[in-house]
Amino acid sequence: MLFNYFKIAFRNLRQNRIFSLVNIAGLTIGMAATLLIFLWVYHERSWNKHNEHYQDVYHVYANRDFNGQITSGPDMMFPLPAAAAASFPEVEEAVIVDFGGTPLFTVGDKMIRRQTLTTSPEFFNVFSAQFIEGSAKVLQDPDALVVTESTAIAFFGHTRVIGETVKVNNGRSATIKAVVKDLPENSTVRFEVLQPFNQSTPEYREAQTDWVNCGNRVFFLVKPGANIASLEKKTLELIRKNASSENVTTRGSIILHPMSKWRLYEEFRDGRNTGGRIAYVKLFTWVAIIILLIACVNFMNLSTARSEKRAKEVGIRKTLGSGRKQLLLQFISESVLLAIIAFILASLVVWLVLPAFGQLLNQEINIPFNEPSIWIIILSIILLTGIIAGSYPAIYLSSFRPVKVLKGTFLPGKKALLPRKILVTAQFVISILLISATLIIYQQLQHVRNRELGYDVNNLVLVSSSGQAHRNLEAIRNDLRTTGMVESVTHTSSAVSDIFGFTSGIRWPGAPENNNLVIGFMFAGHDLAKTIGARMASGQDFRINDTNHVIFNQEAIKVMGIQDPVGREIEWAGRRRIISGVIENMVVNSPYTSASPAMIVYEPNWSNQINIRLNQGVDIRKALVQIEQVFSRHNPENPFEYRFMDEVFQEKFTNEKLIGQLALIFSALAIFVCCLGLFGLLAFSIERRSKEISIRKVLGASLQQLLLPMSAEFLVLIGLAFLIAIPAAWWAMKEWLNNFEYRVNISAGVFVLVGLIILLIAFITISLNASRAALSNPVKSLRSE
Amino acid sequence: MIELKNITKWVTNGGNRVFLLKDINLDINEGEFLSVMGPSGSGKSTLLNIIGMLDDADEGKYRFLGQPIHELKEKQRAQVYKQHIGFVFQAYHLIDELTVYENIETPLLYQNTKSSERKALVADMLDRFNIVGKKDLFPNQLSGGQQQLVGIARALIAKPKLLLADEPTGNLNSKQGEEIMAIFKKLNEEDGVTIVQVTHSEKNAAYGHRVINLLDGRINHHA
Repeated sequence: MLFNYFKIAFRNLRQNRIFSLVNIAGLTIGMAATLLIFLWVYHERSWNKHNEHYQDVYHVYANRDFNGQITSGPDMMFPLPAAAAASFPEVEEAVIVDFGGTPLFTVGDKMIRRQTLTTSPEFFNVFSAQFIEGSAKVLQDPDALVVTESTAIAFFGHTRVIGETVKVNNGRSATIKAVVKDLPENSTVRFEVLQPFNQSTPEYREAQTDWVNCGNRVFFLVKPGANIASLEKKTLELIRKNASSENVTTRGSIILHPMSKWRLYEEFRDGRNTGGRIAYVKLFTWVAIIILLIACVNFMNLSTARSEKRAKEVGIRKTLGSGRKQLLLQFISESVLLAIIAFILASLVVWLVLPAFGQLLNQEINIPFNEPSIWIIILSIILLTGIIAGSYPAIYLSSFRPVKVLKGTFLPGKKALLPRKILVTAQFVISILLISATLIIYQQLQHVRNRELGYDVNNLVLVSSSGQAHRNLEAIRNDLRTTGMVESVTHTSSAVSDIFGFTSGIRWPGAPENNNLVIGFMFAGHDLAKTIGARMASGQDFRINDTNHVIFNQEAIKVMGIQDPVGREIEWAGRRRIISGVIENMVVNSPYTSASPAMIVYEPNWSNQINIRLNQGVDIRKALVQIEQVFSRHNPENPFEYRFMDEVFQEKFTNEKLIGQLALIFSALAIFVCCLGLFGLLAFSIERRSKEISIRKVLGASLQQLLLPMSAEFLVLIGLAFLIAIPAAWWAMKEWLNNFEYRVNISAGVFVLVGLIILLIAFITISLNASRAALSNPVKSLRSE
Repeated sequence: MIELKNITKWVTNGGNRVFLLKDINLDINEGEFLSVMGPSGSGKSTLLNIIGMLDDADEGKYRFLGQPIHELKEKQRAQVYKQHIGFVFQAYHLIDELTVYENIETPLLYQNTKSSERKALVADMLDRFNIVGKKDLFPNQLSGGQQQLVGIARALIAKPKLLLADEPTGNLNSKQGEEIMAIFKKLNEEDGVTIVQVTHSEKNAAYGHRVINLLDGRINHHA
């Protein structure tokens, strides 16, 4: 029986080419989009799952209270994990891990940087790894290094490297004691080299008892079923008991952030874990479902539009003894067959575009074939699509009464048209929403990119500094100048687009009594403003030997309330410092927030980045060659590593750019599927009205006069969809833009543009059908009547 | 076999009842061959549809093989006509997307007949109507007469006791028509199939044992 249904379905598909093409194309696109998004979601949800203790590992966060303003941060005090493991029976293991860095490892004449974490010996009791050589115990040895397989190969070309020594940061020697398999890309706590804390330094000994300063991450492995809320409270009590006096941490609270939320719920607001990436995962899951639904709606519309043709078959089958149930089953199996065909094509599409999709997301996305759930998902996508698409046509078609349809006078009434009109309108509402959202996302990105940054990111090269480079900085500066390609050079503690740290320790005459001002700061050398291309609002740029001088930005001066700041004194980090100038506000950290207060401190003895301003119009490739030569002369112990400032700045847009691209791709697909449906409906309406068209043609109607009345019906629906969608789009995008302090205003122009785009698309769809009407021969179609 | 008592059917048009059938009383015996005649719009097809259970009467009683059809639920009624009634239409009403073989097979699918049995039954039927060579053709590849043969074969495949034919020769030329009527006669006489046919043609009506005339929804006893 089912075979019989499939057979007739297949013949129907072959006979009605446009119908089949529109439906299969639409469903294929819908399913391919759904599959891609589901693969991405699956990947996002798979983060950290390789850890044996996935359910029981918690990251300790502190909600710090800065005068009522709560800031959540993962930096904790050094003695916490040991004390927590000793005092709380529910904490099975606790480990302290730093935030990681990329120190330079020297192996023979190879100089390689590797992502390195410094940790206490309990690391592998909390985080899982597969040992190839050695064991977890080696972290007890302060000179030990644990390296990953690929690091071992990068250093020595093989993994039998136990006992080999490596120089770290051109300083101490360490011995490789264990090799582990590379950690999966989707792990939050990821390393290429793992080293124990150096217990012989005075800093380490000091940190043992320091319950106030925080600089490392703490992770708890908790007994299954432990009361997390009470553990959070007990942890805070422990910190309060040990801290000598009240501080921002003791005033706040503790959050234990479970491993299952590290990837997707990474944002904290007002001391609560509010979400994060999950919002985009959810958003695009919905987008996938919507595209698939639009394709299903196409199927519904076209099937019911074709009902006159199918009505006869329904009538005959009923007189031959078919029950309604059997007809329902027949029509559903038809749509399921279509879904299966579409799925096969969609799988092919996914297979073809998956590498490009992974590249776009900058993640390696694989199809988890060996996961049973993926097969369940595939099966349910096919069945759900088939059933959703087929249900309404099946119910509608199987309800025909044979007496009526077999008389040959069957015409579906106005009632039958209403659902189709509603569905077409709904499709276009969604399309217009998606187009508007995409345009506004792009406007916002453009708006932020064009923002006045306060410094010039073009022609600015950042070179990683080192002890040797810093000692030779004057020689480097002179040699760079003599190349004739460099305008000026300065050193900074970080790229000027990033704040180095935050401090609340600034004192100045006339400061308010209860001063809790938190200000971002960074260190720099002379010629700072000149090199980064910033403007001084007043006072002067740093000059040589400006020791104990600082520069504030305008925002800092505003919040500090200092009148005539240039030349005045402040106190910071135990020293009196002179304000040498006020710099115009610069965009640092997030480009989406308004300017925050910042202090730049003159520091001649230490640098992290060397900023090189190239002369206007120089050939950048040639300049780089020259710069590299200078550095290899004066900094031979370290590799030459450089970045362009504009690229560093662009990295801040990765997330939003990705959202913008995804929105563009998927809304374009949604629109396309919508238009497929419109095309199909119009084609069908022309076919059905071929007699009317012929009569009109004989009476002398032009092509436009033929197409217009048929298109008018759809244009009215599109207009209606526009009116419904615009307020919704305006509201939704206003909500989205509220996430950014620095944002574009939604202008009416966007919606005019959306309207024009939609009209254009609709007209193209309609005119694609024009040939069908124009080429039909009236004599032929009238004779056949 | 069939007892119709006071069968009445109407449609409401602008607040007025227009009677399609009025007080029809009719008994049809098993093995009978009845011809129904009458001008267009006299209610012939409506009567046939009611007998065939495709349509309900608004009033009256209908007993089929002793069962009160007017009291049965949709499902039970479907069960009755699936087993006992075959239809032949003026416009053949074959399913365009199915081959001759599949068209004939379809009623058996709805009765859950086993595959092997289906094959045997359809093969018999193809043989009987001399259309074995046409079994893989689609309806639009056949002449009208051939299509109607397929229609009859399909109506008979489930071995119905009653064959209802609505102007079965209406779309055929006279020679084809005669062939069809000869088949009906043979069916009635040799297989004992009860036949009710609606026709415009006096000549075809004469194939039946009995002729009734309808006029404006009533049986005209004076014709």
